[in-house]
Amino acid sequence: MKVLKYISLALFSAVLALGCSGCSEQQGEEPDVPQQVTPSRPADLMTLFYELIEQQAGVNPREKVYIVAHRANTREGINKRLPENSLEIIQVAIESGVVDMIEVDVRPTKDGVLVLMHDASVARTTNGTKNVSDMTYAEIQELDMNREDDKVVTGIKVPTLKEVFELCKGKMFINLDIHSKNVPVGQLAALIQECGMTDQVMIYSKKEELVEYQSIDPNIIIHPYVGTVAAALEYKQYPGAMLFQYGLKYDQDSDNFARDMRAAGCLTYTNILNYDKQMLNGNYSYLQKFVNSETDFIQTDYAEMVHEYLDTEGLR
Amino acid sequence: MKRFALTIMAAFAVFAACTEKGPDSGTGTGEPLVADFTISVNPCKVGEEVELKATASGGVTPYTFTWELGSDIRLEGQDQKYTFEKNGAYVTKLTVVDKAGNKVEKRKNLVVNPAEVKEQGTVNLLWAGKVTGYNAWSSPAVADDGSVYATSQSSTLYKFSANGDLVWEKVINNVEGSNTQGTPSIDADGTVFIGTGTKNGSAKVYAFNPDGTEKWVFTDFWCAPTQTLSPSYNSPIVGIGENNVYFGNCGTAGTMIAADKATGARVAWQMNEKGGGPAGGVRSGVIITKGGMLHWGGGVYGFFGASKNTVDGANNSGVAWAWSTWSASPDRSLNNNQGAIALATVGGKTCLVGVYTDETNNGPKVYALDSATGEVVSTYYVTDSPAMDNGSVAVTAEGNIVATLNFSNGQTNGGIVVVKPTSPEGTKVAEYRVQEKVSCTPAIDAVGNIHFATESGNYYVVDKDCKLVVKKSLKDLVLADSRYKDTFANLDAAKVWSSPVIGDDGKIYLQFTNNDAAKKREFGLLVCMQVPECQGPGNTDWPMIGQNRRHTNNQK
Repeated sequence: MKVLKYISLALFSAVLALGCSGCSEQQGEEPDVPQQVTPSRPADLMTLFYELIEQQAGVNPREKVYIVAHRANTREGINKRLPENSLEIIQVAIESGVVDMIEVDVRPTKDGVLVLMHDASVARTTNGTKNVSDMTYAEIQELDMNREDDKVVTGIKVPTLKEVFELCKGKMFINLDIHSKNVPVGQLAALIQECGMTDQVMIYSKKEELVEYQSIDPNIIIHPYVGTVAAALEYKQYPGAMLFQYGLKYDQDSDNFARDMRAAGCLTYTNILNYDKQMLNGNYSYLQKFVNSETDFIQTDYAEMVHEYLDTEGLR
Repeated sequence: MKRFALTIMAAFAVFAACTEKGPDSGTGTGEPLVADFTISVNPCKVGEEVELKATASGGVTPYTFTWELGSDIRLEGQDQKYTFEKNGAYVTKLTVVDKAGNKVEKRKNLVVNPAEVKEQGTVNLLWAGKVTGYNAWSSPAVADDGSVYATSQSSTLYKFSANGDLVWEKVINNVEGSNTQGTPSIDADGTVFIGTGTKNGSAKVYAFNPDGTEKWVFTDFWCAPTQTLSPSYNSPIVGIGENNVYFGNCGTAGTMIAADKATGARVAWQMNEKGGGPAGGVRSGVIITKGGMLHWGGGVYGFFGASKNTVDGANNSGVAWAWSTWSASPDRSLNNNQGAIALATVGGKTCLVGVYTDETNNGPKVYALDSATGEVVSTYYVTDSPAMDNGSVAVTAEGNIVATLNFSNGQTNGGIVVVKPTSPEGTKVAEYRVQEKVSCTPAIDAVGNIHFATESGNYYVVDKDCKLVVKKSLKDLVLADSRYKDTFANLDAAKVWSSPVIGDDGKIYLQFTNNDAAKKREFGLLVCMQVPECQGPGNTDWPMIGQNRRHTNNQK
């Protein structure tokens, strides 16, 4: 009997202790709620652009530089001999953790399939010889891609834009270069919308094409090239034009264009191509010129090296 | 035993009480808070209800939803229905806050267009002809016998009879990637002049007899000895003089050229004091004044004046132009304005007039330059319209300049404006503003009505006070006609860059493109229409593109 008494007392105490471990919550302490898990990049390009413009307010310097992988090239991708504008090199860019956007080139095949290819001819980056516009998609699929300076068989195929969208969805922003590439406006706009990529892409082309995209959907972001602030302001009527590409004058001591554009409420993007190879020799003077210019986006083949340098400048 | 059982029951009762959840403790997923929204119609119209639907996930429920539409409209609640009263472009921002205070924002552009202008007035379609390829700035030319010449980017020159029957067609350029943007001009003897060849190295100017046989072809363009000749031909109309014709090319060192109109032999070319040509060659013109001046617009920027006598007497040599204006910042053009130029009499002076957008970006500039000196007589900025890449002018009987305009998304700031150029700043005297881009040269009819067509495919006529007389959809006009509903069954949407031409009898000729969804633009149309209010062209300095239906580019 005494044993039963002790057992019941022990059991009672144990159950009480277990139950009341939850009671502290009802005794005035705040719940331990999960903190916001901040995504590594904003979910959509338009919100990012509006936020950057608001932060800068025309006078404040940029707080971060965004890195664009030219033709999806990264140092790692190049070292692995992966062809430009391929799914494989895009995957490397996604996994690098330092690329904010890839730039890719889009062309239509003879039978109207949108594929990635920079040159009009497939010769430089595949084992073929013809122009993309003279080949059907089936014929292009027979080709083997390579990096331009070697013809090593890779087994890598020319991707369609749709495949690129599927790979990048939710993971990577894309700059679609369609300048002078005869990409039908309606077809590309429809593909962007069907694949749910309106939030993640912007389009680089001639003005007369860009404004057509805006008339289809004011949320398709257009990315014009401009040489003057006045030319950028021409786009004021098109709400999807917020980030403008220009040519930074690396041969000059300074270039105020990006600052002038910021004063006008415009974001800026420029290349460091060719000059970025100098980093391989330890020469970062051109990258420093970019830093001094206050431009918002930088397009490069060597995202990892650019990231490392910009990080030390507090811009990543 | 009984006591043991009771003890156990009591313990479990306490346990259950202590672990019961409170009524409002929130649910956390551990996932980041994300939000998105859809807009039911975008662009929408004033007076049209729009549904905004928000979604959110992650974070800690419940959520609050706040909407900001532009800067003045704030709404609370997940889903909204809203009707805009004012057109414009609205940045639509959704803010979602979860129970833990985490916040995310999502922004999208929402464009609200003005309510559409209802069609009115009467337009009769007399006939419609088909042309291959799309039609940009090229406008039809009407000969003295009523036959009509037209080209398109397919580089075919067409001749239609006065009744719309195709008489002949002729390919004038078969260089791949090269097309035709020029407008034909017709001499008094029926000779047709047309320039072609937009790709460098492919430029030609033709003279054809009315039966379609070739009279001559000009390829003797000029460039400096240090350069390699590779001319292209854009949109200039060949101006027709008594003995010579005047035109200009782009490409390498494009410039203004004079050629014997009977033989096509080069008579002169224009250059500056350093032996160079106008920047970017020649984009618009070449027009001829009564006072013996020639004028053109530069391929990239600038306007130019040259003495016709000096040019005509050059004996196949280079001659300097008399003046050039607006070739430097901030007055030079923002982009390659395709607009044609015209002549008007202002304060007794012959003036070169037109409209373009300069680097000040104050909006399109309607200008008048003294033909003799290039001095600025008047400039009027249309500050509430955006920059333009096309657009042009005609001149009313009162000497006012009617300029065509581009529009901004959500804004009613396209259409036309009428400017009196008698003061240095100019004065706006009337306007008809619509949310459509007008890229053509307008035409003035005998009673002062102003005719124009838009890139949205509509034809408009307004009176001299800019009150609407006619508005008609060109696509509907053609497809409603049983003669053409099968021929043009795949007419998707009409788009007009081309300019209306008014015949002596009041018939109106116009070209437009099938602006299909895939933008293949494989065909265009040439239509002949009648509007009861139009009895003939206006008796003005410059009532339409090329000054008259034959586009001789001569001041009256």
